Amino acid sequence: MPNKLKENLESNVFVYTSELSPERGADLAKMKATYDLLKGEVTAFNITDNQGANMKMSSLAGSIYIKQNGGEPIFQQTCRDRNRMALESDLLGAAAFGVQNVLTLTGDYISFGDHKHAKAVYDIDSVNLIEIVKGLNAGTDMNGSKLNGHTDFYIGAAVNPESVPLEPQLIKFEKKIIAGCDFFQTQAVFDVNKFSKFYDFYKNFKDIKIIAGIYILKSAKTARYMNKFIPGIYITDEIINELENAADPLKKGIEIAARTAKELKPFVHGIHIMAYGIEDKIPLFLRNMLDI
Amino acid sequence: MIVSKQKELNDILKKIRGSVFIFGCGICSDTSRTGGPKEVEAMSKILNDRNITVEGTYVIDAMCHMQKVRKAVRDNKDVLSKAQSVLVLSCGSGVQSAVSALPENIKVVSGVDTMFLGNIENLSSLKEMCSLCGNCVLNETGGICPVTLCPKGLLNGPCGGMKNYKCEIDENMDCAWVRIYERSIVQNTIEDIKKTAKPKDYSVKKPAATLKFTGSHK
Repeated sequence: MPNKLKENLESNVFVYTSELSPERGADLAKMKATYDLLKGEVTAFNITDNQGANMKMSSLAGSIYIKQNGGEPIFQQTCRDRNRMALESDLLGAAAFGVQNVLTLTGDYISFGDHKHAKAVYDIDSVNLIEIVKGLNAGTDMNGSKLNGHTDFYIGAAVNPESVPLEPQLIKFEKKIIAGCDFFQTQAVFDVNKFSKFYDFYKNFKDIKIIAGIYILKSAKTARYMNKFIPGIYITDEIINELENAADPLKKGIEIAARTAKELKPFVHGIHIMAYGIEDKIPLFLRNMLDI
Repeated sequence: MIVSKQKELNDILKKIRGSVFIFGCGICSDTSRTGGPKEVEAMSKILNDRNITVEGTYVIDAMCHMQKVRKAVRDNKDVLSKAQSVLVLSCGSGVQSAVSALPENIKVVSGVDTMFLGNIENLSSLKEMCSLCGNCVLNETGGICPVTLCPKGLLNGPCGGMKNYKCEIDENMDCAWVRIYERSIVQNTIEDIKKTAKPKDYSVKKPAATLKFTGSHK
């Protein structure tokens, strides 16, 4: 079965990915509407897994649904809510329905979301999860038992290129590559200079594909909120000032995102667009970025 | 030591039936300020003020020591026989020592919530540094425990939520993996943390575990 994300990345065609978040509820209509809006613009869609530790319909169901509608899902799997056995069985289920991309994540801590009293699982971590997927692709579970039907996942992971300090993050990044990761989607990048330090490190890994995260900011208020409450986000004061002084902050936010993406483009293999609640602005962002 | 925290008084009162005997613990609950001599006396007064008869009190030096608890029950047999409830101001381990030492018909009430294994930073600060996981990784992480000090118990490095050296869940808390990294630089052991750690083996931690010895200790 063709895998648009893998084929494009492996043949060095620049990719665009974005996110589809399943609803808190059993209705798929809203996710479908966003998918229909963006399917012509985006190579593959990350289907989020209880994002921000908020309870939503499963990423497994969302991924299968998008696949059945002709899209290319990236099945997000966090280690927060499921132990190793549940992760393996969901991966097999996804593969059985033709899902071919997975993004292995640790998962935001449980206290960020709407189920603060739940037990956080973290039975394994994201590096171990990559090893597990690699094993499932080779036809065995993590204990070496043979599978009746192997998976064929293109394996993704996350990295935060703006992390301060960066070195411990780079050690983990390298562990993920050794474990068998094929591509990375980065945390949102706001400072291209900081990103270049990360680039200096990863350019040594020739086969690894990097998709840079770009977040479209709506306002200075959103930016300040994210700096305070969203894990691992570093929005610069310059960007916040630009948004603050803009007559149309959303327009400015799109401009900033397009400018950052344009600067990153020569160094990466794709752009991952995050536009929470303003997914309809993604086509405009892309036109800005590509000067169309 | 085992750190504990007193339950809400109303939750304790709701569980008490008839007159009470109070057990305290002179080791951990004393340091936790939940069940040492001072807290046992204070609880006794609170119950008396609410017209609950306190038949007697006794602070055992370690409520987890079942032989000592059995002896205390024998030594206080007459007073205990008048009580309908026994309130235990110690960790859950101590509460169950009392349950197993007392007659089956005596109601045992726990007065505290058991929190964690604590290091005594000083007598005003108790800190969790080990979570009794059963397969220790300290030799691989420079003596700093990521199982306990990282909220996610990560074994292979920091998550993407670490920001400016701090943990994503608390900006006042150092990221355990940044600490491990910094120490590995000083110790020249960075190769240790570059090795991928395997998932933890939870089978070593048996449910309701018992460890038995053969032969004499001395």
